[in-house]
Amino acid sequence: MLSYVLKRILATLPVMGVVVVFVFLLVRIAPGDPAAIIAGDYATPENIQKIRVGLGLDKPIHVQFGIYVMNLIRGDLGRSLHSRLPVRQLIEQRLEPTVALALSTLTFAICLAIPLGILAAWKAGSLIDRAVMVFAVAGFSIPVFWLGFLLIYGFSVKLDLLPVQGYVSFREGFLPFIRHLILPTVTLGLVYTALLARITRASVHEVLQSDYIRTANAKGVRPIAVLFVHALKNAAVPVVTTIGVGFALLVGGVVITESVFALPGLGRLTVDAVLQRDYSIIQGVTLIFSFVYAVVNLVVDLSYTLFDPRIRY
Amino acid sequence: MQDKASFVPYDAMTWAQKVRRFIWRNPTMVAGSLVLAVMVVLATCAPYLRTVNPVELNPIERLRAPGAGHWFGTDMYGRDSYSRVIYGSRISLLVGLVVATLTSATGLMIGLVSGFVRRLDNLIMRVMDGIMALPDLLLAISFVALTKASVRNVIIALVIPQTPRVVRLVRAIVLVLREQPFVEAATAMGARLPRLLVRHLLPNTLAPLIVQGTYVMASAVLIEAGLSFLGAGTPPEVPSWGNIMAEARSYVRVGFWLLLFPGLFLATTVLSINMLGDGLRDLLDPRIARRMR
Repeated sequence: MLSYVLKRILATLPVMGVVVVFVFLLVRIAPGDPAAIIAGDYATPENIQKIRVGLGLDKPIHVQFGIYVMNLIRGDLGRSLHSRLPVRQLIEQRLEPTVALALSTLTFAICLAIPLGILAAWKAGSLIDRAVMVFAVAGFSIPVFWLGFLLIYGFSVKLDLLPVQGYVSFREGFLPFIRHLILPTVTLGLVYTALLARITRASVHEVLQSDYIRTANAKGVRPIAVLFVHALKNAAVPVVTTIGVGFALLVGGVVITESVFALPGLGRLTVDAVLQRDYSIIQGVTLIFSFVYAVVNLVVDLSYTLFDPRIRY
Repeated sequence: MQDKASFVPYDAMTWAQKVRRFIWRNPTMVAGSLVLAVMVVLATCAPYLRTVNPVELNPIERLRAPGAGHWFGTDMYGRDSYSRVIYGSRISLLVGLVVATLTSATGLMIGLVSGFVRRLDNLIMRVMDGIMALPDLLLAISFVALTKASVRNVIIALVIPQTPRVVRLVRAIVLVLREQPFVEAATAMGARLPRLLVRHLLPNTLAPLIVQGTYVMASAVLIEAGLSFLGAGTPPEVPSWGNIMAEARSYVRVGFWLLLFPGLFLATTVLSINMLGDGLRDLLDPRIARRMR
């Protein structure tokens, strides 16, 4: 088992390597010279060249890559091209709202989707099943930012129940923290829930057709026990996989949701960096997100053994 | 539905009866295709649908609520919202369709090669894994940020993250098929690699490819709108649903109709594409389709 964990971690490294190269190249291939952008419209060629040397952009590309990798290993993500602040510091400042939103969305989605999916599968073919499926397809098709504005209009403008935008750290008060987080969580969570509910329903439905479920029912096991003791574990693998895969969706959704609700998180940082062509920040954030995504998928893979003892590593 | 006395074998059915049977059996797919067809008609016939110039400013008429002269109201510059939404459908549908086609074509080519040529398989899959490790939206945003904001760049930015999924799908099918006797027979008869791939393997990938293509299209329409909303997509001069909503975001209190209608059209379009995809999937081959989930 331990050897499998190590093997999986080793397998992730080449993927991360490709990601690092990809991110590095993506940013360098672009037309448009960051030094010129920073220097402004009235700069002389000497100024631009000085800035370029200062940023280290004049060295040949493999040297730049080498420097970049050496810094990465030391944990140095470089400096923002515009503000000269360390990228790492910028990321650390913006981490909390994003993590809060991501965790609350995950919790909301899992707590809502899995029971809904199980219910729909158990009462397959009924009105509830149809309703859940319609909700799933609809929820997945709705653009996140539109849903956000609909909710803002309904709950903040018309009913005046919740704040329109902004973020309050939980250190400054638990209730304001929750109040500011509700709408963004529901917005992003509904889309994620739709996806999860659909997969849960399909997976549980398939498991419920199995012989051992029929045996359990024939034995007289209570329906709740049948569902939660026998069916759920067997149905878990595709569901957990989707939670992992949906994480990439979550990242994209977080970026948009933070923009709609003005949360000062990593998503906003990325969008601002993109609009300013700040390569270092773009590189740093993309790397962080990809790294977290790889870790999430690793955890998902390892969790399979919990659910299905037949999967032995 | 049909009682025993009126049972008609399929071959003896009239054309009308066959159509009714199809609709009865595949309601979601029919509904989805109808709505999508309506959207396509709206997009192509935009100039004939009582629209005015979507970029024409008319500050006297700014921020009017939906009413007789302006069905969807006017925006902060006095532009007619109805016209902008109708013209905006052109961009969204165009981007969706082109991205779906390009992704399918590229993914098909790479997948066929990767599945069949063992030596290249490992390398190609590592690269695909690397691309899939980057979240879609971030990759697209980065690409558009680094190039000029134009429809063409948005299309490229959307094709890159979606291609690995198609590659995986095609490759999975090819991996199964390449051990089949008919491949061996074809090779024995002298078929070389290109002919093998195109003539024998490709036709078997078409059904799941089309289904996946619809999902790619739905995804592309949504992400394009998201990109435009963030300011990293279609340039502001060209009305697209995401653009329109981006400009309208400060007017939630005074002009909510500016956000309501573009989003409604966007959600309906994506929903119809998804319904069409689901219907196609159930229709074409449930076995292969389940492997795609």
